[in-house]
Amino acid sequence: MIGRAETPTIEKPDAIIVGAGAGGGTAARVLTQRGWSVVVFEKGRLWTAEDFLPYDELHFHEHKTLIPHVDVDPNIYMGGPNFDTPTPSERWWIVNMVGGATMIWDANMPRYTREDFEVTKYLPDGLEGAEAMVDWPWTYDEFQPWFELAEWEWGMSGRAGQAPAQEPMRAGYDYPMPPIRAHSSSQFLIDSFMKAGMKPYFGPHAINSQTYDGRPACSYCGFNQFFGCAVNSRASSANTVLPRAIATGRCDLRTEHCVTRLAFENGKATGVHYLDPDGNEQFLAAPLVFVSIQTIESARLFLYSDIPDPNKMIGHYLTYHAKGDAELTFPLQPAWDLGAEYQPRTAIGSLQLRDLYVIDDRKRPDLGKGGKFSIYDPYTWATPIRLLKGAFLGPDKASIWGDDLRAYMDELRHQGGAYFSFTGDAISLYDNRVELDPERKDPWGIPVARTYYRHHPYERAVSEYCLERVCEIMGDAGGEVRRLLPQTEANPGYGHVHGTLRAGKDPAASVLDENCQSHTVKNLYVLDNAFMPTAGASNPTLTLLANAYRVCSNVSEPR
Amino acid sequence: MWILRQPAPEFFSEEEKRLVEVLLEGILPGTDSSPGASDVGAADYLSRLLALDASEYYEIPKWQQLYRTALPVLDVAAQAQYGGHGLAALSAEERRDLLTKLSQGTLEGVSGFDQKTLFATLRGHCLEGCFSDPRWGGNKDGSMWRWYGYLQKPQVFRRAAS
Repeated sequence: MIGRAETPTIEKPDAIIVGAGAGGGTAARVLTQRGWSVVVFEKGRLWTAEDFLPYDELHFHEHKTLIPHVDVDPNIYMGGPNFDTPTPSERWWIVNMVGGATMIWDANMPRYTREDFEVTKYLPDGLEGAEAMVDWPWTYDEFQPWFELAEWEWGMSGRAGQAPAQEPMRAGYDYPMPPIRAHSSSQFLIDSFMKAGMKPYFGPHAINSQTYDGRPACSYCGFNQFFGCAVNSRASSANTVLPRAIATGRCDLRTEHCVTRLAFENGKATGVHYLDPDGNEQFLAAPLVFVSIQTIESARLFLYSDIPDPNKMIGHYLTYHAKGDAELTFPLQPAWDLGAEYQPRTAIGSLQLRDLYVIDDRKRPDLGKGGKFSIYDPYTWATPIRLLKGAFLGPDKASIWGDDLRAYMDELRHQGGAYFSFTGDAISLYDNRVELDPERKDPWGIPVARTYYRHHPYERAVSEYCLERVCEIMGDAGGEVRRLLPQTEANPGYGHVHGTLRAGKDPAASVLDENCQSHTVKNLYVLDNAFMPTAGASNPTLTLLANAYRVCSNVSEPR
Repeated sequence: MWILRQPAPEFFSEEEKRLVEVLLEGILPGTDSSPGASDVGAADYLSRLLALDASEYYEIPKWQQLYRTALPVLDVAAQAQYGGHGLAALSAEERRDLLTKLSQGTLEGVSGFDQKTLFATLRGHCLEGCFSDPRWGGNKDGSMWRWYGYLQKPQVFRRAAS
């Protein structure tokens, strides 16, 4: 039942952790393993697996049961033609409950690689507006052991060494489980791309393909992203790291406790102010504080807490990945889907294509760092209401109905298709930022986040180029384009969000140091993607986890 | 577990429901070999959805008001433009014409609501009524899922003789 966590009360913890999601849960795991005591504050409640039953697209997705409601708890995006109109925006990636967004994620788990850690080497020379692009202060090789730890502790299914462009792994290393069941279109897609010198591969997921860590293999129920997993086949903070932390007896998980301000004195963290479940203002002291509540929220908490910011960096360099998608139908291919037993009815059996991670095209010297694709079966990757509400029957034919809708559904039922979702790097820009909204407050009485965001022309060019490349290859394989939507300039918000509290060596150019500790408030750490110096070009959570293991393993003893 | 409260009575009167049914069928028309909104009871779905309140979903009160306002206005507008045919008596051709104009915001004799908003709302509710779990009152006996092939192999649909 949805309720409160019951854990021992710890009055004088060694550390306070704000947020019980990916970063917070991992911090609790590592710190308690080191013998420390922690209090974890989570403003949502505890949901257990049964609370996600019966699976229901209308209740959970269309009615947005698991996310904050935009009418009372929005972000405010400065949108409109001149990017100056306050516009409430939906936050599909914010999940206020124990486990956070790992309770509803797609669980795509690629690593960031050398091209992300050393991004400046892969950008075209003299790219205008890219002055704030920096290499990360760590290398891929330094991160490798932490990636491996995250992959085994959280439980990933995948296989190393399938394709040349796949993430490089240490010799002899592999994921704890083989990949989850493949889509029926996979061989056709692999063959088609190999003709063009590229090779898609089965991507890693934090979803069990066999029994692992006491959790069962995926049942291929057809409900993944935006739904809770009622059998715990999909990993979350709540079924991997947090139970281990709680089992030590040194983790006090306090649900419905909303941290409102970070406290500090003389440049050192002293604890947090919070609202208890009855709305009473309280204070808890601790020598160390770890914040992991997602990029925009962390920036908001830093701003509202008046964390000293001599260089006006807090909230700046917000990045969303450059997105873009394309869908094709193949009139000569029968529908891939051969029935419930043959392929997963969600995006989870998808192929990954990383051959355009760095664009190397003599005709396009203006392009370098690119991105990767997830490749889905358009018929089955999403639940049907969501799929059909967003369907296209041609690049200019959206919101289809009547005969067009019938025609689209007939294509899905009879013809094979391919759906490409692009994730590309972003150019970090000072003006893309989070501020406190001067008018709106959230249900806890704190100003909501106001975001300013415009995609750099480079990102749009990369998105267009990569989509054109895959459409060309799929066209040669007999495909007809139904949807073609490259990244546009505006972005009201998106789940892959990073950079508002950049980590770096230089205190004049970053908010956090190399161990993700505030430059101005010692013993205050940030573990969500706000730390990322640049956006990278893959689903970011595995890299978040690896970093959380790294930071929490290295942090000095309290007191 | 969450359990859907069965709302009773329904939101629409029989008269209103007939009008809604025409509009939804226009958005997803059936053929002899593929089910449409009427075949699967999409209007029943909508009538039950709107009998719920904001505790299920915050936009429900807004939709209740929109449909209450819009249905009589649309009925009158249809009569004015299609030779005295109210919504319920429109031919398939007239229905398509009316929905096209509504989707473009160009239907004459309409005031009190935004046409494009109504069209988008109708379109969304039509897809929900056709493809949501049968517990919500549409997608009768899962017949749309069976034809479409959702979580099963697609099956042949034959309209029952009426």
